[in-house]
Amino acid sequence: MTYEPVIGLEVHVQLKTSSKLFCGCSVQFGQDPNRNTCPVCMGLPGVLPVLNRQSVLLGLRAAIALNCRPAPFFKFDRKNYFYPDLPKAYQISQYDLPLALDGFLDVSVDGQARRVGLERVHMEEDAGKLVHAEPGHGVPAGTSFVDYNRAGVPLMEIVSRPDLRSSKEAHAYLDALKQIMRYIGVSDCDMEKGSLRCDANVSIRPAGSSTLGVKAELKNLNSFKFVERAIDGEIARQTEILQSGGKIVQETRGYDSASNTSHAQRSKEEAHDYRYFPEPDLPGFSLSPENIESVRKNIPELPAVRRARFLSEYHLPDYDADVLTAESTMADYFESVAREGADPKKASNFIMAELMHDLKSAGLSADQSPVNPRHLAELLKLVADGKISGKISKEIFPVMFKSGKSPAEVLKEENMELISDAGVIAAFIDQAIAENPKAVQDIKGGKQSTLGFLVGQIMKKSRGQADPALVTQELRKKFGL
Amino acid sequence: MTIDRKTVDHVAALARLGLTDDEKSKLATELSGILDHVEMLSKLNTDGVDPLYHILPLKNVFRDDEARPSDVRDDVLKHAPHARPPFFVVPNVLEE
Amino acid sequence: MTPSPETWTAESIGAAIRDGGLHASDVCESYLDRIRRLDPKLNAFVTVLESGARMQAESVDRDRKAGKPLHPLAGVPVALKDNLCARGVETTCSSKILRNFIPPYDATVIERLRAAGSVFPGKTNLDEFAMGSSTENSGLFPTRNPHDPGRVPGGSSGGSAASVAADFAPLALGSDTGGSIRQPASFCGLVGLKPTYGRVSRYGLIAFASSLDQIGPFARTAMDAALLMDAITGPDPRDSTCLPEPAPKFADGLREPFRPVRIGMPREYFAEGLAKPVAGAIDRLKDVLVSLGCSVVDVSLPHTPYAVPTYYLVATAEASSNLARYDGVRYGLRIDSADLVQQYFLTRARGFGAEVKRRIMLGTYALSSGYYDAYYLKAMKVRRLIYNDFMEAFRGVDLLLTPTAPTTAFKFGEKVSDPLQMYLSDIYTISANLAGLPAVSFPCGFENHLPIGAQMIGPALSELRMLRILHEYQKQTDWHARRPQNLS
Repeated sequence: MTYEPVIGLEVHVQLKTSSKLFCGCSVQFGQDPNRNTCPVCMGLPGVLPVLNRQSVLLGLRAAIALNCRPAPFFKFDRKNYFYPDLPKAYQISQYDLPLALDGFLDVSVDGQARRVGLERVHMEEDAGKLVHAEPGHGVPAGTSFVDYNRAGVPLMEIVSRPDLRSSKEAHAYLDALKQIMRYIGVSDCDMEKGSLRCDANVSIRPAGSSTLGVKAELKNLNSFKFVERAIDGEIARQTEILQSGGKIVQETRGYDSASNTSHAQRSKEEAHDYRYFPEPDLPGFSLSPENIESVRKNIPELPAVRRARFLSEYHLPDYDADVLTAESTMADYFESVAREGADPKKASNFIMAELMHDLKSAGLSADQSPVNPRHLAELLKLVADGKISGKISKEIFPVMFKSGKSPAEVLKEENMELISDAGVIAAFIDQAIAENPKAVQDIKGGKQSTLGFLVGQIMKKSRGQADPALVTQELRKKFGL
Repeated sequence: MTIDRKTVDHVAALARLGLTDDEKSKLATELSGILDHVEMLSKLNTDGVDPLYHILPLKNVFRDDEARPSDVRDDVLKHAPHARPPFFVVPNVLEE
Repeated sequence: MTPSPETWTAESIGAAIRDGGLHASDVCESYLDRIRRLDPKLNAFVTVLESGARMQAESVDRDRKAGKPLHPLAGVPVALKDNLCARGVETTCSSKILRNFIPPYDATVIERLRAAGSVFPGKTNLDEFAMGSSTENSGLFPTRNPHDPGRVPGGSSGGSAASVAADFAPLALGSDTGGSIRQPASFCGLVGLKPTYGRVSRYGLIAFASSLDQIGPFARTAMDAALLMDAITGPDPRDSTCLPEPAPKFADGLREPFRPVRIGMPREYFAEGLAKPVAGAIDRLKDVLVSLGCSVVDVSLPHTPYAVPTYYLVATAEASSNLARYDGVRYGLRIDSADLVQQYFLTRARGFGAEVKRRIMLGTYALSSGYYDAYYLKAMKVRRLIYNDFMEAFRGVDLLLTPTAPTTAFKFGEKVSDPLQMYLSDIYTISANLAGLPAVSFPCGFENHLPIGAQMIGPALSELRMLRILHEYQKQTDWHARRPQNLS
């Protein structure tokens, strides 16, 4: 029998705020342990939460971009469970009235469009972090250190419907989700910094069946690649069980990337009784149609729309449009260069070949580029006008990148301005003729193609600074061509 | 409503409350008595009544997204039952 | 003025300090001296803050000398219930589980009193985590009633009530979740006000039941209560449930001309179980109010019988969650174990007393899977019906007049054996918490040597109206001025 996998993803993204969800502590990454804490996020007795306005605006922006229906009224609830990383022994989350419901995300898998349904989007606070203590720190073996820097960091959970049918689709879904979240400035979605986490619900069923099988929840998926591997492993595991006449049990399984296996996580019977109830410390929230509309209006153009526009407006090839619109900052950069009058395709080529490389080595995003778009447009114009060669443009670009200076400034400083003085050119020509008697012979003998060789020699001598058009023109004159 | 020992065990586990056998038996009796009294609520018709979660006419209470440093960490760690600054220290969950 | 706490009020102390008739330091020493001599008999305080109080008083004297303007409560001692967080001062909630918890921050009310120049003589005893009506549930020791040391002062704010009744301070702060200010005020012969939910910031009040808790004053006179209300009310950006409207000027309001009001007496509050002397005292109180021009009519709050079960579901459910954070990880007691889960069980077993455990169990059960709808959700619906009763009653009257408690102060040990009976004695006070309404208890007579308390319940934000009537009543009567006999 063949089986069809059914996959749903629960993705947590960190909302890009300056402060935590319910207190004024910074969310800055990489701080000294417990530095970003206060009485509120450490759950000291007597403290109270106050909701961060920006987290709601970001959550709402995400919900709208994901085609969800924002709730006219939403509230927070307490999810009760004990764990040392959870300072109040309850997490403030959203249960029955979340921020938004019922959306979808269009993804492309091998060029095929797929629409993935979304069940809900809700906000909640993150927990702290447990660090297993190395022996020899003056603490007994078998102890953990607790760091509450992340406790209270604003998260948004996006729950998909079980619409995904392969690990590849899951990966594509995550890529698309991450791209949108980054585009609209809702989250950095950086898995290494914990600003995106993903759990996968996986089940299988006989192909053609419409009922859902028993699912396993996969946790600890630390990269998109591992999500894909873990899902494949889980599909294989479940298939094997069913084919050998076994039964799947509903359980949570932890994925171990080192061995590429998963194992059932022990859970006590009471572990899943979270005793949700409405958070009495936070009155409810209501969004008017005007509130929602004003957020909607301020959502930047989404990646798919922008990609389509790049194809039609700039007549770029598919590949270029994909690459340039992968990140909104890069797409913005490209459009600025184009607005400054550069030829779109030339700009695209230069950005993909030169700028992206230098940005990547420097670890910068396009909005942090030391070369401003106007300078890049000027550089491309110098080439287009024949003022410098393409080669020179590539040589001076790293200098522009390093110094932030305009191409004119760099050319001047580096003595690399284009030589278009007829006298200087004539001297280069004379020298080349003297040094290349064979070539001269060939040209005179009618082998015009050798003219190019001489142009090359002259360009070399001038270290690329001679105006190639002028050189060719003068050479032709010299030989009476 | 009668609360038996098994229910007391389950609820105590949820609440992470250590209880002696005596306490458990006593609680089973006391809680049963209280729930018998509470039973009167079930006889009251509340169809169509909105639960009153918040007494206040308040909505949309926010704070601005401004990060403000707090300097309580060292103070809290100093009084913590077991700390190894800058961390709090806890035993691991032992596998059974 | 003579240095004699037994004749002082907050109003008179504040005025004398401002006009130079008294030094704040002398006031402070008089009270500290009295606490040293008499508190060992009563145990009102968990912690006496001698040196801190002296420093606060000296600072007021310096300000006065420097010609700085002084707040009406500058130099006036205010005792603090030990579930209010004060920076740097051990705050116990009278629970073993909070031993050695030293908050690194001030509750909003404490911050405001510090700014006003009030003096804090100490932190007062309570039933553990404010769960109880007698201080017998204190995890530390019980407090005795200054009017009769063989009887309870009421609870949970028994220590605060006793401290004012015994003249250890002219004012105290308590908290009221189901009557924890009003019932001890009644037992100790004081004015005790539970403000409208949201009137006073809860930031820094260690939570028992978040949707019911309010901080409020203990005082002898309506004017003193008004002065304390002036200092502690007002919006607070740290509490999302604190009302954003500015509070009225209470003390100024008491000086406005008196206007009679329409008073309703809910018949469900005068049914069986009410002690005769209490009913009689309220009857005489009614006559005084009528003589002041008020009209009095019968009203009905038909869902009153449901208030106790509703309250005990709502309060315990919230408490089970609020008290989950006491896990021995960050502060307070920890009983060490090599296994985390065992550590939780041991710490909470050793740290919490019997009543707290009982309520955590009940609340956990009410929220647990399969029971939520039958208990917690049902209670929240009945809560709406109880609220609607009040809204209906207030269409015809301005205020309600009721007893505060069915009896005067009871003896130690009299009620501890049966928790349900103990819960049922809160019947007159809990509805105001469920409906979020302001309510004030005040002395209206004595049975032998024991004070009898009456309660006014008003519509939301009607504290000033109630205090204004009380002020007028206190001009006509002197129950509020009676000090405990034989306390010396």
